[in-house]
Amino acid sequence: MSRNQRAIGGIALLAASALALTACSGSSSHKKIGVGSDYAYGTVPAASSSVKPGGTLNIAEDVGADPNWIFPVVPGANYSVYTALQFENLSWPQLYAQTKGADPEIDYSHSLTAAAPTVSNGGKTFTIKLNGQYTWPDGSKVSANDVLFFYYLLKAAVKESPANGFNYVPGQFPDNVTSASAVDDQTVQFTFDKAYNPQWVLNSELVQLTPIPAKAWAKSSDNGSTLDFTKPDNAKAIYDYLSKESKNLSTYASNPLWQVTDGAYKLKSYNTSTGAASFTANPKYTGEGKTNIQTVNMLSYTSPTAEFNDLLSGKLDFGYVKSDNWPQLGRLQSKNYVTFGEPSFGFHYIYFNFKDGSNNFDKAISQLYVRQAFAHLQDEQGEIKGAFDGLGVPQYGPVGVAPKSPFAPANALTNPYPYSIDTAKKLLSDHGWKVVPNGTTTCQNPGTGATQCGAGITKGQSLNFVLYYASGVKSEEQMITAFASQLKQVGINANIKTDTFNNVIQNENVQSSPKNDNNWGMAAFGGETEGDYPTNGILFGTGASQNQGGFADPQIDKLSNDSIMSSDPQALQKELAAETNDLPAIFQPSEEYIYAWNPKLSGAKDSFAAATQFYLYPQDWYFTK
Amino acid sequence: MTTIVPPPAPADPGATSTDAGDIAVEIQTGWKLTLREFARNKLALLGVGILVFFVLFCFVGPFVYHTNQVATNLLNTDQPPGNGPLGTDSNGFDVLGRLMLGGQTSLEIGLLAAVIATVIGTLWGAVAGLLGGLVDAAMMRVVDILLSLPFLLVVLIVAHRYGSNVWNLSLILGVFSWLVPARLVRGEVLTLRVRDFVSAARVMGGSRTRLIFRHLIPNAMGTVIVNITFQIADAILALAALGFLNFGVHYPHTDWGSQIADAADNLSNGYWWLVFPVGIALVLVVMAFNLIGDGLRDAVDVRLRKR
Repeated sequence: MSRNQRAIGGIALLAASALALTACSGSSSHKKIGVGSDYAYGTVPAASSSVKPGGTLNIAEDVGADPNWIFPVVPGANYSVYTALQFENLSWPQLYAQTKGADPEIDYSHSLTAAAPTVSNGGKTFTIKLNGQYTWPDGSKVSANDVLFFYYLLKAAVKESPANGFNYVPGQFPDNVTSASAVDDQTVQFTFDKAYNPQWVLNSELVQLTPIPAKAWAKSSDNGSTLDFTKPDNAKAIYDYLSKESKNLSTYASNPLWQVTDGAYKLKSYNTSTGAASFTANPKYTGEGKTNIQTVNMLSYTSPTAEFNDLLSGKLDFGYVKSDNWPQLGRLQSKNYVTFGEPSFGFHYIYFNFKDGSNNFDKAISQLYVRQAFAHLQDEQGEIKGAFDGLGVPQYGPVGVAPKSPFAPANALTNPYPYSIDTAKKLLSDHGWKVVPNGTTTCQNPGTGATQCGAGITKGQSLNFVLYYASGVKSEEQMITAFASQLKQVGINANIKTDTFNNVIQNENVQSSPKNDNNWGMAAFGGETEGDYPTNGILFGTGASQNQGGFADPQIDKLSNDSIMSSDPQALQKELAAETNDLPAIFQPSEEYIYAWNPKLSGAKDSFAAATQFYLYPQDWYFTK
Repeated sequence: MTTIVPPPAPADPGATSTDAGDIAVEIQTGWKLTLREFARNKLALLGVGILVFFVLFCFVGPFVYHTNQVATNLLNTDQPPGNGPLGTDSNGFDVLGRLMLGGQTSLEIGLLAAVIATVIGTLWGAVAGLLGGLVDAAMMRVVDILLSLPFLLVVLIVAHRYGSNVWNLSLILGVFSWLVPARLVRGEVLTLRVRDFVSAARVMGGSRTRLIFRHLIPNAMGTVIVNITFQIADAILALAALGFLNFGVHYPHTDWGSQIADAADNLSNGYWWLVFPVGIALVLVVMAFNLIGDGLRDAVDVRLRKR
């Protein structure tokens, strides 16, 4: 056969393959779907009484968000809800489970304490009584000492580097604790330096605690002796040792440290290349629920469609359905798969890099009018319809339209910066910029006057910048492309770059990767979950560990502080209103988190609803006969 | 007997005027033979036809069929044909217009990358072949080592590090694609350097640079030209692979690989209008370059000519 004939043969084969693939695919019907007025999609069926013990549950890890940290003191660069709530939480449940079903309130049935802490000493002392229900493999109860152990290690971690505590804000937990002590084996007490808002203390500070096994882990080497972790030097040595072990991904399944668990499942295997993990039921589990399911496999995927195909084929028992595959939800439903979704309590955003000195972009976005112009170029309704097929909820600030928060300010419920290219143009041209649609807008009138560009902005400077986003999710790509398209219409050119979720949270982060400060102007990896008391000092406070873009505003710092210090609920509303107005980021609409599961998988309704808030409770699930 | 060294040799400025005149006659004869042979190859002509069609489609088409490929339209996403001749994609862009824009990028990068690869490879191979000995051995071991590296992986890493635009991608693909032309040209030069005309040039005091640029490379041009067509096809496919893996060009640009990635996302959604047009376009253009390359090879190589 000559080369020509081979070529034609190959082409014919390709064409035939493509035709066959498409022929095998679903129908080409193109319909838009949507949610009800409560923004929920579908319903969770009632729990079946027909329990079939045992079995293997295959669930999906989120694309590009493979867990890469096992030690519950998680650095900011490694933190994600997937690592903390879907990987570590299976082995070391948090002291407080922060969502009850999909509602933003503490779920005491999945917590290690039965009630909110008691407050005394003029609002400074918080006493936590453990429920005594959880035990370590040696049969001993999870104790007050285990709670203190976490506290002292966190203290050592953030002293070493603020970036070592994912939730750390300088001056807040654990800095603001003046004393921590065990009242008895099951009671632990924290005294703070001031009287804070009790809701804030519980929902922002104490929720960071995860009891960890002091008896097994309080050492600084594999065969080291048990150290007194209350001594700072010892705590540092222990933290360094455990942190080093956590970086060693290849030993996750074999390291005896990680087998000392009080959670429902413990790690059996971990794939260092993909992040796929397998958990086996903890035979000595004494906590909430019952480990009817023997094995939980967390499978890793490189694309939502690959994961969706495994759902369709039945390989996965429980998995997400991303926007890429929403047009095919009907195919799952026709196989009797249960489909349910709700937006998460939190927000999605594209955050600015206020330290991007390239092209003076930091100076430009320090001007509120520039950020407002950007916000006016965000077409949320279009994105909900086009990128989410209607399965989304508007988000104008740190608290969204749904799930509803009692603290939501008025400007977070109606768009303060409605989509308008003309308004964006006017904002720029009123401040000395020559707007060139589809060209390059430049500053023509530098200076600090009311009609000038602003401090530090030079004549001829453009607003062009690098925009990173986490690849792998079609809707994110659509929203980013749409945003770049709107920017272009006022002469702002976004140079779009992509990276994985984990790389974006690590590299496009002024806290963990200052060397990259001048390499990016905006970035999006998805969004944040919020606590039940959604103050955002940790995200937008000056120098806070999760302040990825380096936003700094004394007024926001003050309002965040007021939210913390005052018991007046208006204080938090004022902070949220200011953040909505001040735009430390461009808030994006939030998509529904839709999950689908095998019709033979059943369990408590709340445990399935909690998955939309990223909590996994396989100990509440079982296969039916 | 007249011996025409394949491919047809260009004029040698170092030759005497009489010689130059003779060679000019030879050249004309050589090109005519080559063209005649090429024109007899129906598949090669089909390749030229397809290529001309796609060049016109991609570069002239947008002047005839006007679409907005800058402003997205999220209220009109993934619409089937009827909303535009080939429907719309996931950003609401008209697919036919997108195909033209993506084709421009693919053809530009393919051509640029092939030129870069060919220039580097030709020079490398010519120098190695002419100098011979240890220098040749060292230079070709470099080629061997680079050939042993996984091409796509290296290109992915570099593309990710330095960003994806037409110039960067052309440079990246070109810089990592010169190895095959280097080997081919070296092989040609090894046979050419012992020919009388090269020896004569040497005896007359021609420098190595002159030998390479005036005698060796022009006489290896047939191999180079044939190879460049395959290089273009390979570069277009490599770009498609990069685009498919999300390392291609980004908004406001697009390439066929990125469009195929979008199509792949929607394959199981049944959005056939995102799958077939770009897939067929890519296959046809790559096929066209391969057919042209095959035709040229048959035409310039006297051993493959039909007698």
